[in-house]
This record gives sequence, C-alpha cells and structure tokens, in this order.
Amino acid sequence: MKLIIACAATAALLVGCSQQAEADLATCKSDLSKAQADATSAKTAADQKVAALEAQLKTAQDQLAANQKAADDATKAADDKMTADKAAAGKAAAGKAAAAKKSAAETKEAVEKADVKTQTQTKDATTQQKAKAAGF
Amino acid sequence: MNLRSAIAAATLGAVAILTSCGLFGGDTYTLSTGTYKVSSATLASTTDECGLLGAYTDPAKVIGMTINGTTVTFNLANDPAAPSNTLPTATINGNSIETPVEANYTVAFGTTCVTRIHRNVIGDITANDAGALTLSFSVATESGNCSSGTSFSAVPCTSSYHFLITKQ
Repeated sequence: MKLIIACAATAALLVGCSQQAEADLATCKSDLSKAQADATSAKTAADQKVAALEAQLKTAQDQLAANQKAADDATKAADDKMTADKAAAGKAAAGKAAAAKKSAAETKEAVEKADVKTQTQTKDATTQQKAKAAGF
Repeated sequence: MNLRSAIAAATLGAVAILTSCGLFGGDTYTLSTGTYKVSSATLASTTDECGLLGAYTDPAKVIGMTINGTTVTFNLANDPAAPSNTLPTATINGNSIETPVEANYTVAFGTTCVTRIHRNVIGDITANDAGALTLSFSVATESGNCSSGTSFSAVPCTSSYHFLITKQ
C-alpha cells in the first residue's frame, strides 16, 4: 500500500515538474525571440550607420581627389605660365637688345654723317664756347 | 609874284614835304663783306629755351657776313671753316634783309648725340655797314640721346635773338 502511495506521489510530482518545465521553456523561447529581434534591429541600425559612413567616406575621397586634381592643374598652369613668361621675357629682352643695337648703329652713322662734329659739352664750358661748338 | 614863280614855289614845297615823309625812298644803305661786332642783344622770343643768348650779349661776340650782290650770308660763329650748309642767307632789298633761306644742318656732340638745327636771319640795314638782325633757330634730336652734353639748355628747343651789328 505504501508503495502504491509512494508511486502515486512520485507520479504526481513528475506531472507537476513537467508542467513547470514546459512553462519555463515557453518563457525561455519568448525571451530568446525577443533577444533575436533586438539583435536583428541592432544589426540593421549598425548596417545603416556603416552604409552612411561609407557614403561619407566616398564623398570625402571624391572631394579629396577633386581637390588634388585642381591643385595639380593649378601647379601645371603656374608652371606653364612661368615657362611662357620666361620665353616672353627672353624674347622682349632680345628685342630690346636688338633695338638698342640698331639705335646705336643709327646714331653712329648719324655722327659720321653730321655736318659739324664737336665734343660733348661739359658743364664747365662757357656759353660762348658752347655757342661756337654749335656754329653760333 | 607871277604865276610861274608861284608854281615853282609850290613844286619845291611839295618835293620838300614828300622827301621829309620818306616817300622818295630816303637813303639806301649798303653792307660789305667782313666781320661785324654784335651789340645790344636781347631776347626776341618769349623765353630762351636754347640758352645761347649769353653768347650774343658777350661784348666780344662777332659774326661774319659775306655780301654777294643782293645775297647776304651769315657766318654766325665767324668760323672760316664752317660748312656752307650751316650758313643762313637772306636777300637785301633796299634797307631790308628779307626772304631768309634757313640753314638746316646736323651737329654731333661726342658719339652718342646728333642734333638737327634750323636757323635763319632777317633784319634791316640801319646805316652803311650797320644793321639790326633777328636770329631765329630751333634744335631737335636727330639721333641718340641728347638729354645732356650738348651746347643747349635743353633739346628740343627754340630761341630768337635780336641784336645790332656794326662792321669792325
């Protein structure tokens, strides 16, 4: 009899335990689902942030590339201008030297052909001397 | 007084009046070739840009003049070696020295400046071998740099002088 009572009690205990375990499992499953949803949400947010940051990075890289190109273009333009200026200056100097040479040659010829040739008049020369030198 | 005497007196009076007025031409003076002393030089232009008036106010200043018929040639520096194209000429017409022919010539100062000078002389003969002349001239740069070292105060310039001449 005692054995029957003991078996009945044990069976009742096992039934009770099983019901509790099922309840705990349901709670656990619920918690897990919630945690999975939270994790998915966090991952989505993180992915979006990463995407935004990557977009910003690309924009910055594009800007940097554009700036670098502009700087390179400016440097090249400055170099080209300097080269052109140098060439122009050289040409002008050469022209000036040629003009000076031509002018000097013309003056030399004019001196040789002058009707009256006299010395350069100094500040010390009297008016009479200066006048005489010029035929006055 | 008869009529004939009256006419003669009137004629003499008229001649006397016309003569006094110079209408019969007065005296015509002559110039002869030689050296003439310059005096009483003054500025005939507004300013003496060329700065040579001092040479003509100098008591020792003389000029040479050559008379050939009615042509008078002025040797302003009285330099026998002066090239002929540097000597201005003019025509004597009664007591007037007119119709000037300008001298147009170049003067080189050193090796870096050549100036071109234009000058002429006109005037009047005021007595035998004496006169009053006006010299006008201009100077410009022909070639080179004439900013200094020339005979003139400045280049370009123009000046005109009036002076009297009397043969030495």
